[in-house]
Amino acid sequence: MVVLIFLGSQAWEWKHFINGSYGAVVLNDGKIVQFVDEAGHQVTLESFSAKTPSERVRHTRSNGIWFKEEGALPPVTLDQVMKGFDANPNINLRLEKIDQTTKHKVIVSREEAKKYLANAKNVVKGANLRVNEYGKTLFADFFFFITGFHGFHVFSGILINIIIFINVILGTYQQRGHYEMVEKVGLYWHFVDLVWVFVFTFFYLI
Amino acid sequence: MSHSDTHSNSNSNNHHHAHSHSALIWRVFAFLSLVTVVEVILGILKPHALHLTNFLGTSLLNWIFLILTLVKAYGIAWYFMHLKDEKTWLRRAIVWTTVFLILYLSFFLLYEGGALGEIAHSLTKWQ
Repeated sequence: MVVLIFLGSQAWEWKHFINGSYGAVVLNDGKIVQFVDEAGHQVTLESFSAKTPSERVRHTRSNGIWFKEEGALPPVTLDQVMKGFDANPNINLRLEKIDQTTKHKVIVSREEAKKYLANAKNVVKGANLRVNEYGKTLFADFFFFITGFHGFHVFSGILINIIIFINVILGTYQQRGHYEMVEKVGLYWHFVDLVWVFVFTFFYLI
Repeated sequence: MSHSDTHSNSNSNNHHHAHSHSALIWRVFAFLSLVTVVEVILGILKPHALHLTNFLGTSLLNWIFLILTLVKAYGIAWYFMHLKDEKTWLRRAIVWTTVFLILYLSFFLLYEGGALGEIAHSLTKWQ
Protein backbone atom coordinates (compact mmCIF):
# COMPACT_ATOMS: atom_id res chain seq x y z
CA MET A 1 0.00 0.00 0.00
CA VAL A 2 2.76 2.41 1.01
CA VAL A 3 4.62 1.44 -2.14
CA LEU A 4 1.58 2.29 -4.27
CA ILE A 5 1.53 5.75 -2.65
CA PHE A 6 5.20 6.17 -3.59
CA LEU A 7 4.59 5.02 -7.17
CA GLY A 8 1.59 7.38 -7.35
CA SER A 9 3.75 10.28 -6.08
CA GLN A 10 6.28 9.52 -8.78
CA ALA A 11 3.57 9.49 -11.43
CA TRP A 12 2.31 12.84 -10.08
CA GLU A 13 5.82 14.28 -10.20
CA TRP A 14 6.32 13.11 -13.80
CA LYS A 15 2.96 14.52 -14.88
CA HIS A 16 3.76 17.99 -13.51
CA PHE A 17 7.36 17.97 -14.75
CA ILE A 18 6.26 16.99 -18.26
CA ASN A 19 3.30 19.39 -18.46
CA GLY A 20 5.18 22.28 -16.86
CA SER A 21 3.95 25.09 -14.67
CA TYR A 22 4.98 28.58 -15.86
CA GLY A 23 6.65 28.25 -19.23
CA ALA A 24 9.97 29.84 -20.19
CA VAL A 25 12.01 31.05 -23.15
CA VAL A 26 15.04 29.24 -24.58
CA LEU A 27 17.92 31.38 -25.87
CA ASN A 28 19.99 30.53 -28.94
CA ASP A 29 22.80 29.10 -26.78
CA GLY A 30 20.37 26.80 -24.96
CA LYS A 31 20.04 28.82 -21.76
CA ILE A 32 16.65 29.16 -20.11
CA VAL A 33 15.15 32.49 -19.01
CA GLN A 34 12.02 32.74 -16.86
CA PHE A 35 9.64 35.61 -16.06
CA VAL A 36 8.89 37.06 -12.62
CA ASP A 37 6.69 39.84 -11.22
CA GLU A 38 7.88 42.81 -9.10
CA ALA A 39 7.97 40.67 -5.95
CA GLY A 40 10.25 38.16 -7.71
CA HIS A 41 7.61 35.42 -7.94
CA GLN A 42 7.50 33.51 -11.20
CA VAL A 43 4.55 34.20 -13.50
CA THR A 44 3.06 32.19 -16.35
CA LEU A 45 3.71 33.23 -19.93
CA GLU A 46 -0.04 33.45 -20.56
CA SER A 47 -0.47 36.05 -17.78
CA PHE A 48 1.45 38.79 -19.59
CA SER A 49 1.76 37.74 -23.24
CA ALA A 50 0.19 39.95 -25.87
CA LYS A 51 -3.11 38.63 -27.23
CA THR A 52 -2.05 39.20 -30.81
CA PRO A 53 -3.57 36.85 -33.34
CA SER A 54 -1.42 33.89 -34.33
CA GLU A 55 -1.85 31.89 -37.48
CA ARG A 56 0.23 29.05 -36.11
CA VAL A 57 -1.93 25.95 -35.63
CA ARG A 58 -0.87 22.47 -34.63
CA HIS A 59 -0.06 20.38 -37.66
CA THR A 60 -1.98 17.12 -37.77
CA ARG A 61 -1.64 13.96 -39.83
CA SER A 62 -4.81 14.65 -41.77
CA ASN A 63 -3.72 17.95 -43.36
CA GLY A 64 -0.14 17.15 -44.30
CA ILE A 65 1.22 15.67 -47.49
CA TRP A 66 3.39 13.07 -45.76
CA PHE A 67 0.99 12.14 -42.95
CA LYS A 68 3.36 13.40 -40.30
CA GLU A 69 2.18 15.21 -37.19
CA GLU A 70 3.92 17.45 -34.67
CA GLY A 71 3.87 17.60 -30.88
CA ALA A 72 1.79 19.97 -28.78
CA LEU A 73 2.46 23.67 -29.37
CA PRO A 74 3.35 25.94 -26.42
CA PRO A 75 0.42 28.02 -25.11
CA VAL A 76 1.82 31.25 -26.61
CA THR A 77 4.18 32.14 -29.43
CA LEU A 78 7.59 33.77 -28.97
CA ASP A 79 6.29 36.88 -30.70
CA GLN A 80 3.42 37.19 -28.20
CA VAL A 81 5.85 36.79 -25.26
CA MET A 82 8.20 39.49 -26.64
CA LYS A 83 5.33 41.95 -27.25
CA GLY A 84 3.86 41.18 -23.83
CA PHE A 85 7.23 41.75 -22.15
CA ASP A 86 7.63 45.13 -23.84
CA ALA A 87 4.10 46.16 -22.89
CA ASN A 88 4.36 45.14 -19.19
CA PRO A 89 7.12 47.09 -17.38
CA ASN A 90 6.40 45.24 -14.11
CA ILE A 91 7.56 41.92 -15.59
CA ASN A 92 11.23 41.03 -15.11
CA LEU A 93 13.56 38.39 -16.44
CA ARG A 94 15.18 35.74 -14.27
CA LEU A 95 18.29 33.86 -15.42
CA GLU A 96 19.51 30.37 -14.55
CA LYS A 97 22.60 32.03 -13.12
CA ILE A 98 22.79 31.67 -9.35
CA ASP A 99 24.03 34.42 -7.04
CA GLN A 100 26.58 32.64 -4.86
CA THR A 101 25.91 34.75 -1.76
CA THR A 102 22.11 34.38 -1.65
CA LYS A 103 21.91 31.14 -3.73
CA HIS A 104 18.93 32.55 -5.60
CA LYS A 105 18.59 32.88 -9.37
CA VAL A 106 19.61 36.33 -10.62
CA ILE A 107 16.87 38.75 -11.79
CA VAL A 108 18.25 41.25 -14.31
CA SER A 109 17.22 44.81 -15.20
CA ARG A 110 14.74 45.44 -18.01
CA GLU A 111 17.49 46.80 -20.27
CA GLU A 112 19.67 43.74 -19.75
CA ALA A 113 16.61 41.51 -20.16
CA LYS A 114 16.01 42.92 -23.65
CA LYS A 115 19.56 42.06 -24.64
CA TYR A 116 18.97 38.46 -23.59
CA LEU A 117 15.57 38.30 -25.27
CA ALA A 118 17.13 39.53 -28.54
CA ASN A 119 18.72 36.05 -28.64
CA ALA A 120 15.49 34.20 -27.87
CA LYS A 121 14.93 31.02 -29.87
CA ASN A 122 11.58 29.64 -28.79
CA VAL A 123 9.00 29.19 -26.06
CA VAL A 124 9.03 26.08 -23.89
CA LYS A 125 6.36 24.72 -21.54
CA GLY A 126 7.13 21.64 -19.45
CA ALA A 127 9.98 19.23 -19.90
CA ASN A 128 11.01 16.19 -21.94
CA LEU A 129 14.28 14.76 -23.21
CA ARG A 130 14.88 17.72 -25.54
CA VAL A 131 13.68 20.79 -23.61
CA ASN A 132 13.19 21.75 -19.96
CA GLU A 133 11.48 24.95 -18.85
CA TYR A 134 13.05 24.66 -15.37
CA GLY A 135 16.70 24.68 -16.45
CA LYS A 136 19.26 22.43 -18.10
CA THR A 137 17.94 19.87 -20.57
CA LEU A 138 20.64 17.53 -19.28
CA PHE A 139 18.94 17.54 -15.88
CA ALA A 140 15.65 16.47 -17.47
CA ASP A 141 17.51 13.74 -19.37
CA PHE A 142 19.11 12.36 -16.22
CA PHE A 143 15.91 12.76 -14.22
CA PHE A 144 13.69 10.86 -16.66
CA PHE A 145 16.36 8.23 -17.34
CA ILE A 146 17.12 7.46 -13.70
CA THR A 147 13.63 7.77 -12.19
CA GLY A 148 12.14 5.94 -15.19
CA PHE A 149 14.39 2.94 -14.79
CA HIS A 150 13.99 3.02 -11.02
CA GLY A 151 10.19 3.17 -11.35
CA PHE A 152 10.30 0.18 -13.69
CA HIS A 153 12.37 -1.80 -11.16
CA VAL A 154 9.98 -0.88 -8.33
CA PHE A 155 7.03 -1.95 -10.49
CA SER A 156 8.55 -5.34 -11.31
CA GLY A 157 9.58 -5.66 -7.64
CA ILE A 158 5.95 -5.23 -6.61
CA LEU A 159 4.88 -7.95 -9.06
CA ILE A 160 7.55 -10.36 -7.77
CA ASN A 161 6.62 -9.57 -4.15
CA ILE A 162 2.97 -10.34 -4.94
CA ILE A 163 4.01 -13.67 -6.46
CA ILE A 164 6.04 -14.47 -3.32
CA PHE A 165 3.07 -13.48 -1.14
CA ILE A 166 0.74 -15.82 -3.04
CA ASN A 167 3.32 -18.63 -2.87
CA VAL A 168 3.70 -18.18 0.89
CA ILE A 169 -0.09 -18.39 1.34
CA LEU A 170 -0.23 -21.51 -0.86
CA GLY A 171 2.56 -23.06 1.23
CA THR A 172 4.90 -23.49 -1.74
CA TYR A 173 8.02 -22.83 0.33
CA GLN A 174 6.75 -24.96 3.22
CA GLN A 175 6.56 -27.91 0.82
CA ARG A 176 9.89 -27.03 -0.77
CA GLY A 177 11.54 -27.13 2.65
CA HIS A 178 13.38 -23.81 2.37
CA TYR A 179 12.65 -20.13 1.88
CA GLU A 180 15.61 -19.31 -0.43
CA MET A 181 13.36 -17.62 -2.98
CA VAL A 182 11.96 -15.25 -0.34
CA GLU A 183 15.53 -14.29 0.58
CA LYS A 184 16.49 -13.67 -3.03
CA VAL A 185 13.46 -11.52 -3.77
CA GLY A 186 14.06 -9.69 -0.48
CA LEU A 187 17.61 -8.98 -1.61
CA TYR A 188 16.36 -7.65 -4.96
CA TRP A 189 13.71 -5.51 -3.31
CA HIS A 190 16.13 -3.96 -0.82
CA PHE A 191 18.71 -3.36 -3.53
CA VAL A 192 16.10 -1.27 -5.38
CA ASP A 193 15.44 0.39 -2.02
CA LEU A 194 19.16 1.18 -1.68
CA VAL A 195 19.15 2.73 -5.15
CA TRP A 196 16.21 4.95 -4.17
CA VAL A 197 18.13 6.29 -1.15
CA PHE A 198 20.75 7.66 -3.57
CA VAL A 199 18.26 8.80 -6.23
CA PHE A 200 16.37 10.72 -3.53
CA THR A 201 19.53 12.46 -2.34
CA PHE A 202 20.94 13.42 -5.71
CA PHE A 203 17.74 14.38 -7.53
CA TYR A 204 15.55 15.80 -4.78
CA LEU A 205 17.71 16.99 -1.88
CA ILE A 206 20.93 18.36 -3.35
CA MET B 1 23.83 -17.95 1.01
CA SER B 2 24.79 -19.75 4.18
CA HIS B 3 22.91 -17.37 6.42
CA SER B 4 19.53 -18.14 4.89
CA ASP B 5 19.82 -21.77 5.95
CA THR B 6 20.60 -20.83 9.53
CA HIS B 7 17.83 -18.27 9.37
CA SER B 8 15.18 -20.75 8.31
CA ASN B 9 16.45 -23.23 10.91
CA SER B 10 16.19 -20.69 13.66
CA ASN B 11 12.74 -19.84 12.36
CA SER B 12 11.43 -23.32 12.94
CA ASN B 13 13.50 -24.29 15.98
CA ASN B 14 13.64 -21.13 17.99
CA HIS B 15 10.60 -18.92 17.71
CA HIS B 16 11.91 -16.41 20.21
CA HIS B 17 14.92 -15.61 18.02
CA ALA B 18 12.71 -15.00 14.96
CA HIS B 19 10.61 -12.58 17.00
CA SER B 20 13.60 -10.50 18.05
CA HIS B 21 14.79 -10.42 14.43
CA SER B 22 11.54 -8.91 13.21
CA ALA B 23 11.64 -6.44 16.10
CA LEU B 24 15.11 -5.39 14.91
CA ILE B 25 13.80 -4.87 11.38
CA TRP B 26 11.03 -2.60 12.69
CA ARG B 27 13.57 -0.64 14.74
CA VAL B 28 15.77 -0.13 11.66
CA PHE B 29 12.66 0.88 9.67
CA ALA B 30 11.78 3.49 12.33
CA PHE B 31 15.35 4.81 12.35
CA LEU B 32 15.53 5.10 8.54
CA SER B 33 12.13 6.84 8.47
CA LEU B 34 13.31 9.30 11.12
CA VAL B 35 16.47 10.12 9.14
CA THR B 36 14.36 10.66 5.99
CA VAL B 37 11.95 12.97 7.85
CA VAL B 38 14.92 15.02 9.12
CA GLU B 39 16.29 15.23 5.56
CA VAL B 40 12.95 16.37 4.11
CA ILE B 41 12.51 19.02 6.86
CA LEU B 42 16.04 20.33 6.23
CA GLY B 43 15.34 20.33 2.48
CA ILE B 44 12.17 22.38 2.92
CA LEU B 45 13.56 24.86 5.47
CA LYS B 46 17.04 25.18 3.91
CA PRO B 47 18.41 27.01 6.98
CA HIS B 48 20.68 29.87 5.85
CA ALA B 49 23.33 28.88 8.41
CA LEU B 50 23.75 25.58 6.55
CA HIS B 51 22.69 26.43 3.00
CA LEU B 52 24.67 29.66 2.49
CA THR B 53 28.00 28.10 3.31
CA ASN B 54 30.78 26.53 1.31
CA PHE B 55 32.85 23.65 2.58
CA LEU B 56 35.00 21.49 0.26
CA GLY B 57 33.15 22.60 -2.84
CA THR B 58 29.55 22.48 -1.64
CA SER B 59 27.32 23.72 1.18
CA LEU B 60 27.25 22.18 4.66
CA LEU B 61 23.58 21.33 4.00
CA ASN B 62 24.63 19.14 1.06
CA TRP B 63 27.30 17.49 3.20
CA ILE B 64 24.66 16.66 5.81
CA PHE B 65 22.46 15.14 3.07
CA LEU B 66 25.38 13.07 1.76
CA ILE B 67 26.35 11.77 5.20
CA LEU B 68 22.75 10.95 6.18
CA THR B 69 22.39 9.13 2.85
CA LEU B 70 25.42 6.97 3.62
CA VAL B 71 23.97 6.28 7.10
CA LYS B 72 20.73 5.11 5.47
CA ALA B 73 22.63 3.02 2.90
CA TYR B 74 24.47 1.35 5.79
CA GLY B 75 21.16 0.58 7.55
CA ILE B 76 19.64 -0.98 4.44
CA ALA B 77 22.71 -3.01 3.45
CA TRP B 78 23.52 -4.20 7.00
CA TYR B 79 20.08 -5.15 8.27
CA PHE B 80 17.66 -5.40 5.31
CA MET B 81 20.17 -7.04 2.98
CA HIS B 82 21.61 -9.12 5.88
CA LEU B 83 25.24 -8.08 5.35
CA LYS B 84 25.53 -8.17 9.16
CA ASP B 85 25.01 -11.95 9.14
CA GLU B 86 27.52 -12.67 6.38
CA LYS B 87 31.02 -14.07 6.93
CA THR B 88 33.58 -11.35 7.63
CA TRP B 89 35.55 -11.67 4.41
CA LEU B 90 32.52 -11.85 2.11
CA ARG B 91 31.29 -8.69 3.79
CA ARG B 92 34.67 -7.00 3.30
CA ALA B 93 34.80 -8.08 -0.35
CA ILE B 94 31.43 -6.42 -0.94
CA VAL B 95 31.94 -3.27 1.13
CA TRP B 96 35.54 -2.44 0.18
CA THR B 97 34.79 -2.93 -3.54
CA THR B 98 31.76 -0.66 -3.32
CA VAL B 99 33.60 2.04 -1.36
CA PHE B 100 36.43 1.97 -3.91
CA LEU B 101 33.92 2.20 -6.78
CA ILE B 102 32.15 5.17 -5.18
CA LEU B 103 35.46 7.04 -4.63
CA TYR B 104 36.57 6.21 -8.18
CA LEU B 105 33.29 7.40 -9.71
CA SER B 106 33.15 10.57 -7.56
CA PHE B 107 36.71 11.49 -8.49
CA PHE B 108 36.17 11.13 -12.23
CA LEU B 109 32.75 12.78 -12.25
CA LEU B 110 34.09 15.80 -10.35
CA TYR B 111 37.44 16.01 -12.16
CA GLU B 112 36.22 15.37 -15.71
CA GLY B 113 32.99 17.29 -15.10
CA GLY B 114 35.05 20.28 -13.98
CA ALA B 115 37.27 20.04 -17.07
CA LEU B 116 34.22 19.78 -19.34
CA GLY B 117 32.71 22.81 -17.59
CA GLU B 118 35.84 24.81 -18.46
CA ILE B 119 35.87 23.66 -22.09
CA ALA B 120 32.17 24.39 -22.62
CA HIS B 121 32.56 27.74 -20.86
CA SER B 122 30.35 29.69 -23.24
CA LEU B 123 27.51 27.21 -22.81
CA THR B 124 27.72 26.67 -19.07
CA LYS B 125 28.71 30.10 -17.71
CA TRP B 126 26.75 33.35 -17.63
CA GLN B 127 28.66 36.53 -18.42
